[in-house]
Amino acid sequence: MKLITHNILMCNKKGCTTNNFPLKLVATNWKDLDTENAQQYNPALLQRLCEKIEWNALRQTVSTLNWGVNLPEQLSAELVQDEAFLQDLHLLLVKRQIVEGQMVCPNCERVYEIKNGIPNMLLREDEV
Amino acid sequence: MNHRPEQLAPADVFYNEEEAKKYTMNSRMIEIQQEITERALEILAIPKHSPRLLLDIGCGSGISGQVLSEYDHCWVGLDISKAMLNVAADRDVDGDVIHADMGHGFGFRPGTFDGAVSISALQWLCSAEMKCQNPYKRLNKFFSSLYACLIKGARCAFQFYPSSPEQVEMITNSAMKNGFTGGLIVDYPNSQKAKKYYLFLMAGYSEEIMNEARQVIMPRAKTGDTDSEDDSD
Ligand SMILES: [Zn+2]
Repeated sequence: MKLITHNILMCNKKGCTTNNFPLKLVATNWKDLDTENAQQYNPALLQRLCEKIEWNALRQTVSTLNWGVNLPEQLSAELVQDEAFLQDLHLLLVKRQIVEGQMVCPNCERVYEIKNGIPNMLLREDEV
Repeated sequence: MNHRPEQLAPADVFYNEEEAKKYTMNSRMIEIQQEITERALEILAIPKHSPRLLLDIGCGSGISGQVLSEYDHCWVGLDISKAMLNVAADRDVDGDVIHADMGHGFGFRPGTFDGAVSISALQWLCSAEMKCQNPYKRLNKFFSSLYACLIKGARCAFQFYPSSPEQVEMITNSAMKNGFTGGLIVDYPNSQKAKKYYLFLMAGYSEEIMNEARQVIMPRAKTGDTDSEDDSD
């Protein structure tokens, strides 16, 4: 799972409708995909994704991951035009893969496991 | 004669490890899936060199997703078959895959996806996977949460294998009830083998998307002969 996906996932459990984003992310194992395997760097795509990102949620999540990544406080219009910034964002959002870990809902504390890079968002019938 | 897999067993049972492997090694199957995905993209009518964030519902092993990646789109896929998703993960597909049941609706932030595709998956929604499940409820849950996670005016192209006209009606009714407009596109209606059903949907109206789409193509059913010979789920 990549951080771009984490940034759009909310808890989907029945009755959990407020304060259910962002899910608290614990990454126990992660890897950077090599260039052949990762989606190609494409500034137009990253600019599109920038329009969608909840920046505060991304900053907050990254700050808990101990990856040594420091994101600017705000996503300014100038930054979105900055090649070096977009390259960094490409690595952070698209190339880095969380292989094992879990996500915990800040509201209901439901745990969603991540295994083999795949988050398990499957609910039990009584959670729907 | 093809047996409809959705009538044999639920999707997560049917697409076990063995089926998943068979499915991903059948080159004709892959080719058909790719062709259908290309057609779905045509229906989405996204202008050239405009990469978008797309949702792939029933993404399986990521065959359709790879076509989306070739067009530089970023995608998130979901599927109920863990075995299929593991194949996708092992192949290091560009998009992200999530283990989820489309009949439960999905927890995505509202207004994020620019569009959605689904290849050969929608018919699974109509067959209850467990006794306690109600297909009407599942369809409603699916379309309402789909509508919520799309941007205004986003387009969807869902290719599926309906089992009856009633099933088509059940699906389209649920989509319309949840705010979508659109309709059914039937490609090659006169060819028993090449005939393909696409549910084309729009999540509300956006002038910008409408104009973009007009510049690309209006969705029209394909007719006449085709070199696509066989039909498979
Ligand atoms: Zn929750």
